[in-house]
Amino acid sequence: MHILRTVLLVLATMLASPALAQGDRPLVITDTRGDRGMLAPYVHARNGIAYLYTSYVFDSLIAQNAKGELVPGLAESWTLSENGLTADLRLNPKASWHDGQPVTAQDAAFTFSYMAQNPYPFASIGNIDRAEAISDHHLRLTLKKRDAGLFSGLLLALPVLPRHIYSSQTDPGHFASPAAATGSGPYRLVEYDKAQGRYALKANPDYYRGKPLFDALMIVTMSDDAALQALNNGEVDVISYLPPERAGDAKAAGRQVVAARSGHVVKIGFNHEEMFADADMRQALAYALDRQAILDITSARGEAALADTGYFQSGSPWRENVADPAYAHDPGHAADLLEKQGLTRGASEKWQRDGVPVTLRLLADGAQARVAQVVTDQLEAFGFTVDLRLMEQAALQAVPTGGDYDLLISSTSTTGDPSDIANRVTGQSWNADRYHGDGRLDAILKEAGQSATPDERLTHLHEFQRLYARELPSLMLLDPVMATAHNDRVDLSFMPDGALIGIPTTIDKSAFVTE
Amino acid sequence: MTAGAIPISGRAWAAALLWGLAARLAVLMLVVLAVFILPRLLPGDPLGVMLSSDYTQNLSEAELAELRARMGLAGGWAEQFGAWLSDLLRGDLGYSATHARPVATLIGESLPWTLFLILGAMPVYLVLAALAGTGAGRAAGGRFDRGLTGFVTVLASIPPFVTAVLLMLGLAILWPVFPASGALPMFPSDRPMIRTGQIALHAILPVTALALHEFARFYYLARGEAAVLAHRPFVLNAVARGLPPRRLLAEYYGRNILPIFVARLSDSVSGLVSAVVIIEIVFSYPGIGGLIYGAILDRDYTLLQGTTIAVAAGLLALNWLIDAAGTALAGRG
Repeated sequence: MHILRTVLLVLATMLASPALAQGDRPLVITDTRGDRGMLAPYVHARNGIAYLYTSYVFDSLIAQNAKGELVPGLAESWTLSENGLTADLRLNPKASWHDGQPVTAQDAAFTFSYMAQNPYPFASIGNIDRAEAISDHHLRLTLKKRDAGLFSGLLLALPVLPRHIYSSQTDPGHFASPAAATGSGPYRLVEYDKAQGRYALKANPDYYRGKPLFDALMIVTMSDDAALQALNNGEVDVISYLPPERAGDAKAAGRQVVAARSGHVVKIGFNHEEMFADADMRQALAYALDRQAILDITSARGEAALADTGYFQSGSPWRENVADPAYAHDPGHAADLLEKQGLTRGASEKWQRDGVPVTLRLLADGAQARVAQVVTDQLEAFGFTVDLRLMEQAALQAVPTGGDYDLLISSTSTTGDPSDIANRVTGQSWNADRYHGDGRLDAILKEAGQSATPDERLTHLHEFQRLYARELPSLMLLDPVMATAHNDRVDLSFMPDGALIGIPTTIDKSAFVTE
Repeated sequence: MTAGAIPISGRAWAAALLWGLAARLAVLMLVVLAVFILPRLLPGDPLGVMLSSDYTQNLSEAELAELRARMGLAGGWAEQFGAWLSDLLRGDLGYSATHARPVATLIGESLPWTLFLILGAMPVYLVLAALAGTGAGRAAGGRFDRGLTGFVTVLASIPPFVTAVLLMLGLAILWPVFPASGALPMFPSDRPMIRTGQIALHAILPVTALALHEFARFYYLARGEAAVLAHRPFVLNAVARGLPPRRLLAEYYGRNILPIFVARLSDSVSGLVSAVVIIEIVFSYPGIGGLIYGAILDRDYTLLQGTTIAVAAGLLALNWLIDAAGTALAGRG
């Protein structure tokens, strides 16, 4: 047995040893999920990480630095007209496609018309009236209405496509050959192995913003355990998402760990068409729950922080730095509010309406099972009967607004340019708030979107924050912490409001280019 | 299979063969219908799932309709079924929007891995079960038989995913001699010899889990048959004549057990396919199981339809061939 073990160990070590020499080793990043699709706009998987990887290959007109500030991308400079309806962008004449062709204003104008024909779900160009190339390096955009998020939202998010390659593609969803990944970004895709979930990227030597920091990047699929072992052995350099409770393992081996609140909150949504139509009812529920206890039970090792109730989470540049109402646990106050709404406590302290016991139908995303269980326990202790149903996401999605539920626990992003908040508050998606109320929140968001200056926009957003915390379209529970472990080949940090479209990550492309 | 090897009437055999083919085509038609309808009865919508990321922008109705049409989801069920069926008859399995690849390509990339596991497991459990079962059955009731049969009975009661998880826990995590997941290491070697070794090493645990799943069934078969054979006069006679044990095993037991094994094999293969799906998911093996599982979660109807049809067609074809071989072997007596 002993000999067998030794032989197997030797064999395993031999087979597992990396084939590449240490010196020319690429920067290796691990991903637990694996295949994210081909790194081209229309064929990458429809999630934030796939979008992020694609952004290594495709540049946008505007970019971000490591602090999240807007810096020149394919556009060197930009101006907005007095009435806010015309934007003029000057393109960097040094920019070129990975096949050597120059990037021109015609490419950028083409991208807008192409995306009008072929919708790209990560950039909505509905507000662009006209995109024209005034000269090879001068792009003019005409808007239908003012958009305070034009530069920090749309133009940061929109990958510019090479006209000479995409103009002949009538159905880009079927265009997944290597040519589809011809971008103008700092890295070129050289290998994509779908079955193994592995990407190899090489630095674009002609990159217009200077030579990228690393000669090569590699993204590989690994479980947390394997990744930690490989990071400690020096086989990988970055574990992009390390469960925060494992941070100690990486630190013990002398690796660096950065962690931050993600702004990707776990919340309780309400069915606004039934029992929780009234803000008093929602507040009563907030007081009945002990959010701190939910946090303590589900996040014993620092996996999350208590969420702020005014939508924006601590650290967000859009947030007014004041304490939101905390809705500290107060069952007495919750009971008062419920009694004002006509509920009574019957025998055995159970809540009733017109003599009928009140049952709360609680739906939850299976990923939030623990939170859902604690919420259920707390509500039952408070005197509600709770009918808890855990569902997979596709099934939850099919539950319509006003459907067969009272409460819905899900997670949702609060980061990224605020031009998208209206979707997340009034939208009909399963993890949106599905809230209209008296229309005040809607109106504030509209005004914010039409603001003439960033300061004016911020004023509206702060007003939104205060009203949100009072009206509670959803009750924010927890703000999960995300962590990245890495060695000293690279310097990483989380951006305060997420990268590009609000992705909470440390591996934004700004970390891999020189500034 | 040459006609000369078949003592039963060649014509009757051919007729049985054709009849078997017709029956299996009918089953395939039912599968085609079921696999179209069932996914559509699940709650959730493929386009909705595809656009469910928090980062996707709200698309207009026109944009959504455009995407829907491109995914083959425009119109009613009858219209979708007609379009899909006519593609299917032309041999086109469709296009997976979530993977941005033709379904046939996706199957082509993952099926070899699944077949590798199945074909790797088959000889393992067949040979071991035949040897162990014959050994136990020849001396039924003896100490070897009682011990082994007891052990196999326990083994048979463990579902395949539990076996897989236990194997992974024991031999990949607690005592890490084998890789826990995938079909290749993070940096696969360029040298074919080493690469083959890497692939083999990664396959050991999934193949073992799969082989254990089917071992019990064939062990009982071999044991039962051997127990009967041990008392048959021609075997008793052979033993009395002092026939070498190896010949006795191969020619007396083996020859009689073989047709029974073959007859059971077609059953076994469908059992293997359902077990391999689960085992692939446990070991994150890049086979067709993971593909089907993902297609269900993503509500990728086209991919789910294509993979199910491909697996069903393959199983039915194999089942047909094994039946034909079984008839031929049985005829030979």
